[in-house]
Amino acid sequence: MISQFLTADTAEQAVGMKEIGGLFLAGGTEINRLGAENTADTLISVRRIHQLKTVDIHDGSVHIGSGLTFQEALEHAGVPAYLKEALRFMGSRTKRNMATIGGNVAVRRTDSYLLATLTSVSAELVMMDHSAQVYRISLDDYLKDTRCAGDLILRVVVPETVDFAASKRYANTVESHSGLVVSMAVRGGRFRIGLAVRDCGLYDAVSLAGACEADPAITEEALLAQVVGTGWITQDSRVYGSAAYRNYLIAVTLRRMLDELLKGGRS
Amino acid sequence: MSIHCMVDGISRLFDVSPLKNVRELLYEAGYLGVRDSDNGEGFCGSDTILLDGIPVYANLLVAGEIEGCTVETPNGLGHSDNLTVVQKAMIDAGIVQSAYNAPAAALILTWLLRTNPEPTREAIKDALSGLYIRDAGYEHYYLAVQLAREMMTLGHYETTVAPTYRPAMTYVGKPTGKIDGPELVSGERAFVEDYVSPHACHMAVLRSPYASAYINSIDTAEAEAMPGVVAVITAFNCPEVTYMQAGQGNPEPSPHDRRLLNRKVRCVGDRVAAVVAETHEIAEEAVKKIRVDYEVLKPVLTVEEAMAEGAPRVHDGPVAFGVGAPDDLDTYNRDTCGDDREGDVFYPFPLRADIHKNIAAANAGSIGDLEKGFAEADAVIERTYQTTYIQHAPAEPHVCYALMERGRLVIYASTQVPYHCRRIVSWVTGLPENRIKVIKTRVGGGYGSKQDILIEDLTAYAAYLTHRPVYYRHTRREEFLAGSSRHPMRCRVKMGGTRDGRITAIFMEARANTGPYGNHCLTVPMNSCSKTLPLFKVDNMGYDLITYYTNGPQAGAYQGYGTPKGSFAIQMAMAELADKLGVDLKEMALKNHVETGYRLEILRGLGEGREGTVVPVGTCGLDECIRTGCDMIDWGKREESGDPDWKIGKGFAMIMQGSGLPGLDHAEAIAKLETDGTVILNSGGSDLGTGLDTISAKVAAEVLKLPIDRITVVSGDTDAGAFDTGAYASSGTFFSGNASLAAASRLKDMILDEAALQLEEDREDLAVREPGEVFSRKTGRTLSYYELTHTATSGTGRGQLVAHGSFVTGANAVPYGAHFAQVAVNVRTGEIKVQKFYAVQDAGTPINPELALCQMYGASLKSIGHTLYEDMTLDEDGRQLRTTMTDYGVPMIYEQPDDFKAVMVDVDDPAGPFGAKSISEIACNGAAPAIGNAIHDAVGVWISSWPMTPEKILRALGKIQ
Repeated sequence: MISQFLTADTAEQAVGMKEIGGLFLAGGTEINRLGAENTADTLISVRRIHQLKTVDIHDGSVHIGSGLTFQEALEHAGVPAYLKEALRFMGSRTKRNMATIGGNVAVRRTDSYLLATLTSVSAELVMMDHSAQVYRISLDDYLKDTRCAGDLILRVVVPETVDFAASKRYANTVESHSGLVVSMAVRGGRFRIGLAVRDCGLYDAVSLAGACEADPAITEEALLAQVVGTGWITQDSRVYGSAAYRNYLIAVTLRRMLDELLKGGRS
Repeated sequence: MSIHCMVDGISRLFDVSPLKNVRELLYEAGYLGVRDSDNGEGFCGSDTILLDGIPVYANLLVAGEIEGCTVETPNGLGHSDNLTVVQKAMIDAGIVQSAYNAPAAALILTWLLRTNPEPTREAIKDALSGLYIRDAGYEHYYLAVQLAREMMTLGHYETTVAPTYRPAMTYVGKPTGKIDGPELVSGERAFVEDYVSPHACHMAVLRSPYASAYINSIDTAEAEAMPGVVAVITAFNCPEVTYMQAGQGNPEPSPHDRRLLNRKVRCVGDRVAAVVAETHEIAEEAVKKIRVDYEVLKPVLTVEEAMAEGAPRVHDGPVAFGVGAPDDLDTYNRDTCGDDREGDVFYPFPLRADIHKNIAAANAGSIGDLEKGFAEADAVIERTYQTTYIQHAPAEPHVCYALMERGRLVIYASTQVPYHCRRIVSWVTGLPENRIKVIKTRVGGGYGSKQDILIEDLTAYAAYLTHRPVYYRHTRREEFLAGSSRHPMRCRVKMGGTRDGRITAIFMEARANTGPYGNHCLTVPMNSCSKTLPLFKVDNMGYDLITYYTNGPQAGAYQGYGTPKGSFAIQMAMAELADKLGVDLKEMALKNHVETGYRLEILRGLGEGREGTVVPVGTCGLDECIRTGCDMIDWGKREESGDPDWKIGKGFAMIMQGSGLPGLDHAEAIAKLETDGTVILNSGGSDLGTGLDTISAKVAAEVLKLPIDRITVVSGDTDAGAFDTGAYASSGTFFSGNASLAAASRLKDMILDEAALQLEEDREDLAVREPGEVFSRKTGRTLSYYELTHTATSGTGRGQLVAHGSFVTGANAVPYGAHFAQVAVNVRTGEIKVQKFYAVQDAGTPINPELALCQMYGASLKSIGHTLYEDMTLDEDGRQLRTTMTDYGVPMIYEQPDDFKAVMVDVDDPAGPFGAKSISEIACNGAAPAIGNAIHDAVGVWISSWPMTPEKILRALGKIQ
């Protein structure tokens, strides 16, 4: 149970405070919300850390401060359009005014608004550990490695441009949790696919990406066979649909994205 | 810790924990407009504030985060006597109705126009995207923004707020604004929570984790030993009173099948124990310390399971009857398990129940010759349709505050039925009704859910038991678990017709699921037939209804009652029959719908617990509704999307409802001429936010020729008013409005009688005229109401003029309509978009036209949600899987159709007050069949169950197995 509230003015101060055990509090849309499982003693507010609020573009990459809210990111000219597409998945403007990009990454939800898209564009994270050491890690590794979960995300680094990127979210209503988010990106001829499958997992769909890359004209049926072959979705969900439905959706969505790619869309 | 911040322009210092929830902090500091609909889910937006100029959810902030910040709340806008342009525009547009979220909406729109003075429709949609509106839909929010902009820039409105009716009248049929709008939009004290003493005790309820179980024992010792615990109530110490919670009719036919707390729990979420404690936290903690020994039983969760041979019995105790007990009752009652934990079941009168077969109620009947009718048909279709559990999801959950005061039990309730509430609390406590006072505050959304006495019974009993003020409020999770829901229903329809489009016979079989208790178990399924079959002038019609007890969630009244389910089935069946016969649906509808004067023989068997009244169809605008809607939507024209994956289709459905229950409902009003010539109208009616008080005021103003601001309506107070059956079954305008009309008319008569005496003139020469005076057509003399009442109450006069109006009737003012949908369906993903939705209704005289339109939008959007998204999904053990708003899936502004229109067809009904009919409830009945028919038109598949999900589309299209 949380019993202490601290406010950090710098990232270094924040990670220093974290040493006593605690949770970083950014937008509050996850930590403060109903049903949040907060096991820490201390909340460390990072809302006022200016360096987490900036967006820089260099070397073909966009470095997005983790404390940027969804809405601030949407309004920033430097944030790529493909990421804005995912940011809009959060339908509530009021919530977008609060939720931060770093926060959405850190909670690693299987219905994440952003993680499928960020996976598909090979995003990286700039982190600060408890001793204020800054390091860079791929999103993929971050999601696999729970040891860095307690470190502070400083920035999310994404490519400034890609050849193609598209994301599609399936949810009951705009405000509902998603059952599935499918993202595909192509950069330098290399395909990458990210999937966020509620109650199943977050996936870097390497084999699917390889199949699409090998043959962008691959049939929906072949894609479906590949999806089913991954074994990621085997259980039916009474809320989010049967396994057959969600597997089918992945296949058909990828096929539709490939169609769009072949027509030269979303460059 | 000291938290310093600016709140609404005033420097504030709060000495609180930095972890204190900001919404609670602000509300407790008196900012009542910062409300809570979702327990901090970040969904409904009732808790919206501006933090440093940006809209955020206060529930998702802790106090430490607002240190040094600027906070703006809805209470910082304008108060009820000094409204801002935005607040005024919201009232004028008709969107301030149940209004739990209205203050938050005012704040958001104020922010929008401050930061974007010329917002596009998209910008308005974006601004409102985090705000949940269940009552009025979102369409008139665009209008409110437009009105506010015009007032800001031009100083007046140029846009027409709503159509007007009855030019000869001043208030009736004119959009004059809701009389309680100012206090609601400005976030002043209005709802139950605003009346709670800071010293009140709080109640928390332990709920069953099992769908069916006996309670062997309850150990409350540890809970009772906790400091601050005042009382623990269980089945072992609560009154031995068997009753029911349905607030409808008097007498109400539903079986008495529960105690305050039972020794057998019959659904997940059923009440097990209640803790009254000094604080909410202590009550919650004490609940966790109660130990219950359950004997878990096998549940029955569906109608099919309930009707199966040898199915477990949901109720297995002895049955008794008020009247009409069968001769073999003793034998029947010997066939029970004999376990005292079951409790009794009492039927005030027989409903053809058989609880040994889990049958709570049944009915059947027919007219004409069904066999002959089907034999005459060129085509017959027979289809089964299924609907699901649907939650009302009002912005304000169930909430109650009760206390003992001067020897009486006083109950502040968010209820649709204050007099039924009083009666049921009287049963439970044993107090006579004169010792119970119910004050219906403003209601933050009801839709039928607050027609049942779901929490007032327990809260009031707790206050009576402890003699401490007790406050209880459902969490949103409890709202799902322990609120009521729409009865899931399986409807089988058999319909035959000839090639020329004439329907020859209709048979309808309904199998309803009432859950563990029988609230409305007869009347809801009756409605599925009694508000659908009378649309048709078909000689051969029949119905067979059975309602089953199950261990699913408790069902109850829900806007539309049984009609949306019957309407879905019968209108879908008609569309499929038309398709099979090769007849255009419009032509079939026009050929078969009833018209004025058609004698409705089918109603004879469709009374509510007694024989129904056969009446001819009264005013009926159905034909015009169908033709108008068809023209609007370009019926018959095929639309193309430009994307081969998206197919577009159109559909429509005829609809009807009632205006209260003739022969059952009852309303009263008392009008008093005060000593300054103003009028106080004590209405027994219950304004749920729909504008009933405004209707009463308008009616009185019209009759008495008095400015409306000189009339105050006091309603919902069982001490002040006289008996009214309440707001349900679309009765408000027709019954309570007519009672107000009767009281005002009687007062007018008394005024004229008194004036004749005071002026010493013949009464026949006198008339009333604005602004509240009597004048003589013969002599030209005038007597103001002030002068008249002053003389009457000066000590030598004949006393204050107090008029009583009562209204009962055998007549009905049936509203009709037709709803139209245009949908786009993606044949590859199954996604469905409702592109257009037109609600065209015969509304009688819309007394509050701007409010009426918003109610049509609200009910239509709600039923679009029921059709496409909403579902209280259960697991195999009867546990609900969607107990948050986010999981449940209500439609919000992004789900609203892009082209959304509500149109009222002008019909002046002789039975309604000034020609009025009901308007809102009927609008729940059209979406499902209209959308279902449109889906078929788009992609060729008939979806026969709610919700019509993309997965069902894909399965129907053969895309997935």
